[in-house]
Amino acid sequence: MKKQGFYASVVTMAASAVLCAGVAVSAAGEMPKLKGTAYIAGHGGHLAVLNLASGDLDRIVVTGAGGEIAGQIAGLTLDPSAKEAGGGTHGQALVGRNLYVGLLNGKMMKYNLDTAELKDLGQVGKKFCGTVMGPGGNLYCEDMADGHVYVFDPSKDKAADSIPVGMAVCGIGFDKGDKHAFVSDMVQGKVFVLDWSTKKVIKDIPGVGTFIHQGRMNPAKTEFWVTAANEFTVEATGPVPNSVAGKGKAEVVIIDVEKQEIKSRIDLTEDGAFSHDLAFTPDGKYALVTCRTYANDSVMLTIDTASHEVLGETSLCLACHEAAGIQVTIDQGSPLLCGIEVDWAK
Amino acid sequence: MIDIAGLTKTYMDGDQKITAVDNVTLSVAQGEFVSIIGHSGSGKTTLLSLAGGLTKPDSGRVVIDQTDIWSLPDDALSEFRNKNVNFIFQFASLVPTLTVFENVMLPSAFGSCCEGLDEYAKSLIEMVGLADKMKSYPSRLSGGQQRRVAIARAFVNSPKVILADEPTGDLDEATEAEILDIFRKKNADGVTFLIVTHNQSLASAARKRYAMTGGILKEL
Amino acid sequence: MKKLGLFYLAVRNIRRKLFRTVSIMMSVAVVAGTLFSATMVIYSVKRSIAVGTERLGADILVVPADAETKARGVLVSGEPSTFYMDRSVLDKVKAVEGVAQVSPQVFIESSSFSCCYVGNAMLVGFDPQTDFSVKSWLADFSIKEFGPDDIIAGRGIPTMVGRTLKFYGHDFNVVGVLAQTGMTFLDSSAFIRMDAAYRMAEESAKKAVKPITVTPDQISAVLVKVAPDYTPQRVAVKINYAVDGVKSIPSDEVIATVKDQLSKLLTYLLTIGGIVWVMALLLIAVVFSMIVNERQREIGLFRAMGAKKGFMFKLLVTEAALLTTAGGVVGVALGGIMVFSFKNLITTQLKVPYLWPSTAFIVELLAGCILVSLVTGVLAVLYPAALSARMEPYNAIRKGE
Repeated sequence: MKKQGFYASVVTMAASAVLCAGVAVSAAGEMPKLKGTAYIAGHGGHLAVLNLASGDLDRIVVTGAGGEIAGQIAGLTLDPSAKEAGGGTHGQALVGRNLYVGLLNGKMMKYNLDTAELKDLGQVGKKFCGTVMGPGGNLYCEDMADGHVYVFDPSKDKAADSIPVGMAVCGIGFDKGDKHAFVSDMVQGKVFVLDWSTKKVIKDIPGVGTFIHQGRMNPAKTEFWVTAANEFTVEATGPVPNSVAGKGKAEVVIIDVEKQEIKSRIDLTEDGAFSHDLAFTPDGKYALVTCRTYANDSVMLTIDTASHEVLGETSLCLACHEAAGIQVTIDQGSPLLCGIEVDWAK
Repeated sequence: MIDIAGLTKTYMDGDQKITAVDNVTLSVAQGEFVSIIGHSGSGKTTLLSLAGGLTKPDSGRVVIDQTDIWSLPDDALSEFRNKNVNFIFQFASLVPTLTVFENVMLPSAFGSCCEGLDEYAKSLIEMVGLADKMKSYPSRLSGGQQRRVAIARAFVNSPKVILADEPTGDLDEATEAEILDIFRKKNADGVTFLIVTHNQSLASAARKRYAMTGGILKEL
Repeated sequence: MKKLGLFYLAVRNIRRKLFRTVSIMMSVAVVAGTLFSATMVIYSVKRSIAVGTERLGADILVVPADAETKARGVLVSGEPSTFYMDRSVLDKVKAVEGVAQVSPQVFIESSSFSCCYVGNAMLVGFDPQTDFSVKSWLADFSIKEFGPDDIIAGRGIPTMVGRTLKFYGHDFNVVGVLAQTGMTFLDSSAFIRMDAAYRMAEESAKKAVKPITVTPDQISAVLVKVAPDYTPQRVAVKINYAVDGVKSIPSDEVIATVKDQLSKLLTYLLTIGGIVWVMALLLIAVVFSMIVNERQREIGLFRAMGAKKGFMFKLLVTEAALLTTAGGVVGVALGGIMVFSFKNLITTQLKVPYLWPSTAFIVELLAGCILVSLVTGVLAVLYPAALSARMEPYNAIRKGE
């Protein structure tokens, strides 16, 4: 445990240093100049690697392709025509120079950024959504098939716990002192609040959306931001697609951590961006929101966390796919990106 | 007994409209033996079917025993046929999986049965000379024998009216004479006969004779 | 003589064309047989797993990590197997959050038995002090104290209460015989006290032809009951994390594995059954349309003699219903014969336990399959029957000429 704490401290310190040195904040309304490397998971089984300073794109192949709406989520079949997820990455967290990647088939992979060594750590859950660094230096992997939060200890490369929370959980964030955990549930469209000492749900915040995704705590630990693309409305008869009908709003929903209630919403519908995950800059001034377009690209929006203004959009797939001649064959031909992790030190 | 007035039936043969029965009026009293003679295609079989409630006329009325049969709903018309009318067709019309006795009893499957019907059926089979074939299947009978079974069956529900279409069609003279004899006996018992045929000798057995040409009926 | 009835006429009609009748019957028989046998097999396996895991009484089975496959084999298909780990695991498991009760067991293979009974079986030693699994069965046998030389035999071992079973030169008194579970692990195992197992092992060097080497510091498995607020899955993760070198298998995961195996089989069988059903439906519909066509003159004749539309409709429906019901009966009979005859082959091929369903279930299933056959016939014949009822008598007679 001490070792994980050490890792966490190192990461935090490094991030703080980069914040001071690397992030040159621009004037309001303009895209900030950021430095760092963003790793964005995708159904294609590889991670998009974005150099935030230069905008250069690269990729790391982790596994084969697989879609999250293939197979079942919380017992619901979302797309009967899609085959069972074979691989596909969905969320990852950086521990030192190791990137821990949760897959859509519930496996955990470890990729060393220095040596490019890829290690299969085996079956941990059923269908992973987010993978987030949290208390105790552990990784917290949300499972959208069984609704558990899997606690993964990177020092032992073993699952340490499996906490039942909801039906299809996707994102997690912890408040100050790790008293409470906030967990988003995809199909129930709500955020659960857990007393972290007992690991029990003590409250839920309903009405976040109809089909929500990952969520992140801001660095000040005052706001829990949840991506609510609302592609579906899950009804008793099953999920009804919203994106096709254009009914659902694509939003980022902000939860007030202290009041444990919805504080505000950022509407991204006009941007045509279906939000999926986000990362805050270490100073908390900007949120980098990964979004699907359900067209031929996925994008990252840079949002001013104070004004909620969308400052800019960065393409995450097209440049790489076009150059490599990649044709997306799953998810109706659209490259769908998911979780984002930023290495602010590199 | 049978009152036919202004009966007309047309059908389409491609683009051509054919009048099979053209404004026929005919009256047959109870116990009468009436024959209608005509060539093939003259409309006599159609007339018989209209009179027996098997096909609906375009216009006109058929009243049997004071019942306007074409004013009845389908089920009531079926019931009326079962109780009052029976047919003898130019084909043998036996059910191959039933014995001679069962074939004769067949009309009882479609209506109420009365006491002693099986005895009556046996007497009818004896009447047509097939007492020894009671349990035989149609495939074991000659054409003439089959026709006689069909005739026995026609009387099993004690109909008031027999409508016969070429009842002696392809039979030899001896069998024809036997059948005619049966008809005469039943006619003497009060059964009304309306027979259509192109057989002159059968037609001449009737007390009242008509000829049919191109759907038009004329008394001879 | 009784009046000729609709049912009698229908039976007579069925006899007309033997080949056609047999073809329709067989097509329905395949559907009913598939449905019956597939449901029987699946239900039997599920029942066996449910009865077996309930009998086992444990939420989690902790085994040596490298013996996970063997342990699953023991549980699911009863493949006798021995594997050992250090007894210290017991205390480590007990200390894990969410664990309410633990009890060790030691497995000894029967293939080394010195005398009397040789088969695919295991000798299971349990700890009377901590046991919560075997204890629940003792009540069934009105046993207050389970003595050091007492033994409870699974149904598969040919013995009875009051007899003696000799293992490795040691005599055991049979105090109970378990009811059939279908799980070979339980049916072909004999349960003794753990101390007796170790003593037997110690003495086997002198008494048995082939001695066993298990020592008191070795155990094969730890049975775990989880605390009320915890799920077996969660506690299993915690045990795997906290105790090195072990693998925790939640009982419901074993059930899930078998269910998964079965669902593939079920999908396969249902697909075949579905295709055959649709084909049977079409075949019956086509054949009865042909029958209506063939019998036009007869239909006209029946109508001329006073048969109502409803009678004609019912006649054809009755014919089809009789045919398909007979096909259903033949199908379930054949399916039953197959399932009963090939039970052993099914369990060996699928590596699953098997326990026959209750008579009530079999009766319900039989009735259900025959009902499906009947409904198939009725559905298939609806259109041809309506066609026959709608025919105008005169047209039917003329067209049939």
